[in-house]
Amino acid sequence: MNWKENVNRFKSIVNPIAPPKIFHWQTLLLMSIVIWGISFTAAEKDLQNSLAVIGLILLTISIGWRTSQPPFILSGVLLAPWITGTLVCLLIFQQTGANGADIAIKSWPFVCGFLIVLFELMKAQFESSSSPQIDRPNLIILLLIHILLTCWLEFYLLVFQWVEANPNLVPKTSQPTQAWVAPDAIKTFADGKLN
Amino acid sequence: MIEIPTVPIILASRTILSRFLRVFVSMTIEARILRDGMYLSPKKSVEYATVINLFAEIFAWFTFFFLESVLPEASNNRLIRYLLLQKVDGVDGTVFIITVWYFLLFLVLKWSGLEIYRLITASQKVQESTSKDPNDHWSYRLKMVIRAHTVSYIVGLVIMILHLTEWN
Repeated sequence: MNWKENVNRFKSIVNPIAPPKIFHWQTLLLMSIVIWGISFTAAEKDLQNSLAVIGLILLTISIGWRTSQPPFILSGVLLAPWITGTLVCLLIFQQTGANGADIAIKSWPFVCGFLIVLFELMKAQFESSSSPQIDRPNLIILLLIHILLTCWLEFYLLVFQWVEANPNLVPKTSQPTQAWVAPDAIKTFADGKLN
Repeated sequence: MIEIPTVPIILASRTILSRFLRVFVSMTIEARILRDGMYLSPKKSVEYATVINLFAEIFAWFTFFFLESVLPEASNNRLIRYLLLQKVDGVDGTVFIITVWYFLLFLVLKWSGLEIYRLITASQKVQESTSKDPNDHWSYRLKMVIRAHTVSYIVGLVIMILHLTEWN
């Protein structure tokens, strides 16, 4: 009796998360969840970590894929490179540990710039079968701006090190001097002999 | 609550903003000179000026990071004081040599940047250019880059001197 109902209930749960075709971002998302689940069952710690990293990579690719489609395109600008770049840097941070935070921070603009070029190339490859027209000047300028941002972040981190090593670099700030009243004057005022 | 140290952020931001101002001024001046000299459209001239200045700026930063790691401590401290506090310990021969060296370095970088850029966008360029275009000769392009760079560098130096006299 309930067999058919249970099957229908199961279908209603599975259908929204099931990918419509094999070559789809949801396939990668499901694979990442499955691999992440399998990683818990692995006996060895190294194998567990490796499986978790593979799961994270698949999750990053699937999110990058999804965010390259509407509604994640604002006025023709893809948000996917920056979102995916952030996830890639989090992955770098996770792999390098707390000491590698600098690497993750300063590589973020460069990774985003590289992904912008990659997404544009892929878009040109998939969208038109004839000779793909990429706006090369704009791509080059975007890539250069992202590399320059990486240099600026590197400089910020360098200045942090310099200031730590040379505290005399910190400019001296002048504090207003506290009002000082002669003790005799206070005594005179308290005794009511001001005049 | 995380305490963010403000002093390094302020010091670094000041240096980066002054560099940004210099690059922006250079781009504006060079776009105008390249437009007149190379008979380019306003859009194309801004594109050329942007690419060569960004290219040169990035390589200048890489050169700076390299020098910072290899320079002896005394020179390094002088560099740090100049970059962060805009303080120069007297003007001597070294400052003159550094100025000339930077001029030549930026010139080479800008010219290489222009050549690489033209090489990358070559397929699109062929359709636009005519056979008698003077821009097709490397010597003419170098001449234009020298002219644009000289003017923008002099203006940059004047800005830097004004900046230093204000701070010192």
